Amino acid sequence: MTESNKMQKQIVITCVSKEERRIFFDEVIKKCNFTSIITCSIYEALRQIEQTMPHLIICDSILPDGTVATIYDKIRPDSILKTIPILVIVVKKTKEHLVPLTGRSFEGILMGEVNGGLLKEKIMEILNARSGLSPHFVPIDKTSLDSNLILSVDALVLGSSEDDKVIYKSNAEIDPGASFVCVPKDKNKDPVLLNRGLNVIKDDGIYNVFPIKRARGKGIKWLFQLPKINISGKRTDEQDDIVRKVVFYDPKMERFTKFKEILRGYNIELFHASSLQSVINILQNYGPIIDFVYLDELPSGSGAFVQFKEFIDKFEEKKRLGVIIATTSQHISSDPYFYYIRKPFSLSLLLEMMENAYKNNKEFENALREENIKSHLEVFFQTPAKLVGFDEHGSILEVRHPISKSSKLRVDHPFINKIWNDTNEAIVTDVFQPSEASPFWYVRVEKLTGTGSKVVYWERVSKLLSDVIIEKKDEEKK
Amino acid sequence: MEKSCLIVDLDEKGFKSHFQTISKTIMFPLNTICVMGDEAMDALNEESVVSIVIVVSDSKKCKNAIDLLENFKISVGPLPHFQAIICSDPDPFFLSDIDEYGIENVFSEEDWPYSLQQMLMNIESILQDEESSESKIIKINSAIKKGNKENIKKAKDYIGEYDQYDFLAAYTKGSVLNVMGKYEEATEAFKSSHRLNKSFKPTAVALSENLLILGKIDEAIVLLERLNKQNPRSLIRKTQLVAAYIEKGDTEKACQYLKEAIDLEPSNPKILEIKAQLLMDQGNYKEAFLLMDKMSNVGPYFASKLNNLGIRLSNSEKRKSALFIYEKAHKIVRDDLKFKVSLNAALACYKMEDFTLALKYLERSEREFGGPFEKAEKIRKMCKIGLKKKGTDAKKEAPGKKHADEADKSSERKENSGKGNGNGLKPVKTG
Repeated sequence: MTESNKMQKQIVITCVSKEERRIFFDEVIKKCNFTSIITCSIYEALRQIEQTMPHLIICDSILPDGTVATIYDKIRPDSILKTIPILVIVVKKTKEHLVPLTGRSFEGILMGEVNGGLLKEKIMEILNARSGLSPHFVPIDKTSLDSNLILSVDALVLGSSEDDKVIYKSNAEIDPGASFVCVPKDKNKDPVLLNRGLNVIKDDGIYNVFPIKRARGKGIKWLFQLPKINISGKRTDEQDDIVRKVVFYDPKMERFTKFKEILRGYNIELFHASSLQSVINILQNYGPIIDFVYLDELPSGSGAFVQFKEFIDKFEEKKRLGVIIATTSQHISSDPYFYYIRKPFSLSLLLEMMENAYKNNKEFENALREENIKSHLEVFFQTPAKLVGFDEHGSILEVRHPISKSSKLRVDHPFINKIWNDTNEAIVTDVFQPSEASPFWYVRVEKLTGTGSKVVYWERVSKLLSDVIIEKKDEEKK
Repeated sequence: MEKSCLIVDLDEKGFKSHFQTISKTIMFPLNTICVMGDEAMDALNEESVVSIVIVVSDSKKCKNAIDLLENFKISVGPLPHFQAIICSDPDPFFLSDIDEYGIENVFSEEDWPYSLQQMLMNIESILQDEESSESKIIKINSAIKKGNKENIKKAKDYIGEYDQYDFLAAYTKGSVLNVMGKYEEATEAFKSSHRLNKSFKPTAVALSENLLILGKIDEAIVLLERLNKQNPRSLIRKTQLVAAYIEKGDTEKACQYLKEAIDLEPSNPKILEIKAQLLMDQGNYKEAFLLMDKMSNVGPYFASKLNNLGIRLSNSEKRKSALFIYEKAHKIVRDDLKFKVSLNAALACYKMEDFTLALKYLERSEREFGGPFEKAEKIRKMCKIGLKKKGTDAKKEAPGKKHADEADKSSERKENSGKGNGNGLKPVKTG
């Protein structure tokens, strides 16, 4: 499991004395990309534990209203809360500070002054010892429930661009490698299978863009009948003879040479870069004539990429460069100016990505004004998924492609809908891979309007699950 | 009939046994047939095959992969989303070559099982609908492959309105019209497909061939030069450019592209075709015919050149020479084009007033077409009228005339004996 995946949406409750220490812990935890809940008393900490069922509790050994022993003694006998790890901070190595630890087993203890690096390391060590799944996790195969379900994302069709791309506005990012069935709410229009979509993330929402030529199914007919939105303000045939200039980072010279020859035939001129620093140098010297950048896998050492990203961010707004990153990683997330393409890819896909990077978001944004939008066709995207199980935070689904956190979608499964009081609107709260080699993603979904206290929620779910658990029924029969 | 996906292991490094292990744990929605490279062509002829996946990481096997894709296009149809390549680090030139078939699915050697499963799920879902564009394309292609002209005629209407917004349907309609010899309409269908998806190369290739057949040389050259710039390693493109520049009268450019074609694949049969065309253009028929003796499976463009030559000879009363050309053409053209050659031969015989021979050619033409058709019927009627008239005239003839006719026939037989080696032919100015 990759570090970034495990960090996603881990809830850490911190209960320490002194304001400046609370600020320090809060900052470190947030830098780790965790959800940080800071409390200043044992009482408040216990309340938050009940509400949120955190993944980790960090607590001073003694506080004005109690000690860490109070928390320990409260949660360890509790069947739901007992597995939450506790990291104790012992500010001073005195008897008073050490007594609460006696006879109790904590997952981690830090003595004295704690620096940010050490704290982060310890947090990671404790959380890495666990899988992405909660210890309360109930797998679907222990129940009589059907694992198949459909995920749906509501979207609004805005129209099609002059280069035959259909544009939707939705609340979810789509994975470029995924296929989606687009189902119009208008029953007179047929569904259509869409592929190779892109996300364009704007302040006002997420736009999904699909090439119509890749669409399949009877619904292609209404796609072609969509009103046009003039995205770029230019005629497409004006673009044909323009030579695009690309800085092409590829460690394999032979491969670069072949791409250079091929892409020249498509009016794309490549300039070779042997490292990210070399890319930066070329951009610094020839920035005005370069149209976009291609990186073949990120070079090892994320520092170079961070430097590169900072450099790109500083580019003038009007000349904001698109960057294509070819990667074998399964973890692809959208970014306004970074276009990920999964390797291996076909030539036509590379060309399409290059075309998108060339046009970039500026043109897109200019055209999406209300007066230009002629279509408001309501649709939903559907993709199949499998129910993997349940834990105290939500339902775990298995999907073939990652769905971004905070995506809003609909989950149609009788048991889940029952837990959610007959609603199907959900939000994605966590995304991770069960193992590094897994081609699947696990997505945790929660009811969109929230579930209130986690403990209360889990008690209710456990009760409902007990009616469908097969193992228990087999035991009862015995 | 259960639909199948053919998986071809060209690398021959143990993929087949690996696949058998994987398929015990992963459910693939379609039936899967995994074969080695040398079994692939036969397996491709199975009617159940609707999809193909080729395992190829060895660059030496790329040519075999391309041959398989070409055969899939002919056997099953132009369905790029039903095809895939398994190769983690494909050579850019190979990517360019498979792009000629519109292939976009390239799976890595690490996660191919799940990518394949997804692709087959999509295919299964599409083909469950008998009315889907893909289902129709497969049926139509099957009819074309079998040469079932009756079904081919129906196929054009079977596509329905799909060709207006589905580039694959438009392409298939063009293919059907081509088989029916309706090149003008086919060209319009290909243009429609090209408008719907400019990056789908098979359409551009078919369109350029049709433009050549229709004599729209300048338009063909613009398209061919662009395609050649995008992939200068395509032999077909080079040969088409040779043909185009021959038509244009630019021998220098034609020879330049011929050299490039020979440099690419000196032993490809298409080279013979284009050399023969160049020789014919230079009036060197004897050498052209010698080359033709080595040719087979010739496509519509060269077939049309031979047909046109035959028609010119027939119209300038060199009908025996025309028949010679038609017999030569008949031996070397693709099976689906033979009917047209036989029809032209029948017409030449009709003009020679050899109505009996004409009727025999007509019979052959209809057999090759798969049934009677309008043009053949028309010529048959004319031949029967001719035969009747000849019979009437013969009754009115004086006895002495009969002996003179026999002498003429005898000299005709002597002339015909020179047919086989082309010695009876004089070079004909073309153009």
